[in-house]
Amino acid sequence: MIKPPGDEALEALLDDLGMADPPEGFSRRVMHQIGSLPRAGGARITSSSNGGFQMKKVIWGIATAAAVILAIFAMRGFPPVEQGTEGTVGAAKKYSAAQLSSKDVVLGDTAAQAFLQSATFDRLIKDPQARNLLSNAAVQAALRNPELTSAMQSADVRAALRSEVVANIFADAAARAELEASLKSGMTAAAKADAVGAATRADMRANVQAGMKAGAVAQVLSDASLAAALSIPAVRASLSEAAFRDAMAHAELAAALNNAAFVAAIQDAGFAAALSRSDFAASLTNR
Amino acid sequence: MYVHQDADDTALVRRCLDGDTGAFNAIVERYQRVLFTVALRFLGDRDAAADAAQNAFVRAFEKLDTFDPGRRFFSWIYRIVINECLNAKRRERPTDPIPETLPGGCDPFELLDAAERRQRVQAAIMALSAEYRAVIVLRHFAGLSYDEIADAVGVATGVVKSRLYTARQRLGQMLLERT
Repeated sequence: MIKPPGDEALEALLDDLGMADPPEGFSRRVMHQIGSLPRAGGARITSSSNGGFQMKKVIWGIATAAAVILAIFAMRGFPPVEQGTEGTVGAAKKYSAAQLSSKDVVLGDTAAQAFLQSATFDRLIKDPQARNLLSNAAVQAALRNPELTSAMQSADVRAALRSEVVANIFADAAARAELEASLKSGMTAAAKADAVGAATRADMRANVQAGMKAGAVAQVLSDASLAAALSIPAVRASLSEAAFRDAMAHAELAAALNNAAFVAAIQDAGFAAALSRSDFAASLTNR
Repeated sequence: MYVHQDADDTALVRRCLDGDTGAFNAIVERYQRVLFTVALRFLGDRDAAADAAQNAFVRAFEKLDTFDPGRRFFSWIYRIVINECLNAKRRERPTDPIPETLPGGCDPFELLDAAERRQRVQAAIMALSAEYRAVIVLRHFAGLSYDEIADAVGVATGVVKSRLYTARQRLGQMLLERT
């Protein structure tokens, strides 16, 4: 006799099937696609099935078919070229397009996308210290400059950005101008120290504060690695922003510049471009 | 297991419509597991389910301005995912039909190991027609009430009850017990 399981048994069977977790990175993938849309409710028909998980199967299918065809050709020999078809090679050339140059290829978005799907990004957004740093608007604004993120791969540059002495110089227009003039003229630290020493001694009584600032400039220039870091325009541009200096005045944000996850991230070519994307911001705020 | 947070959902939708795209991430995080499960149980394939769930979120984002705050957000988004699943089934190439009576009809609890048992149950769900499968999946894996299922699939509550009854009968027949 055959009888169907009762309601309870059926419930138990369905319960046993249970819930399923979506693939790794699913929400990031969704937000990435949404990031390319105008705004919520902005009706636009998308072909959102493109580039999906099913696509993997199609690609594998094509690859398998190609492998089978090649294997058949390898065993049976490649088909001979029929007489009369040789001339078409020359004729076909006129249809060949000019080769793509590097200018034709826009890497920014591709690199950003690759970064957002990388383990480096995953580590970055899971790191509270790095997330805290990146959530600061002034830091974000500065990091959108790819020249700065490139320069920040150097520990010396990161030290310059978090240096209190340097920040004090950039907070004062005259001191900053003096530092930039010295960097521009290529004045050596020793020569600068001598000049500052003389100026400081002469002006000390009249203007103690100016002397101290001049001393700070000399101190910075006497440090070769600091001077080299400050010779990079993007570094000086960032330090010229009061908001950025304010951010670096916070010990925890300054310390985060040497955070391993952050340092790994700024070495990724897609990092600066990814910063401008809404899915990046969303990942930061929704962890 | 189920996610029903009307007030939060409405607030998140409002933030999205005000231009805060990040708020949608909270919606995705909240519903991704249950929507993916619904799609997986409906389509029986992880990749197809991931595509359907992803498409559902994107469609929801695009059409968020058409969401009626007087309705429940989850009913609305389940309706979208079911539609995506139906679209996926239409695009799918025809395959050999799954037999009404599945092989190996023994006591599922005693004679089949867990993996095989789950495969049989999933196969039985897949053997149901789309309209029956939708109500079983929404009832069991999304935990919706009759009214909510009716809202999600766009039929009357009575129809949902009828379909659910028939779907259970058919599932029961497919998951045979021989005594």
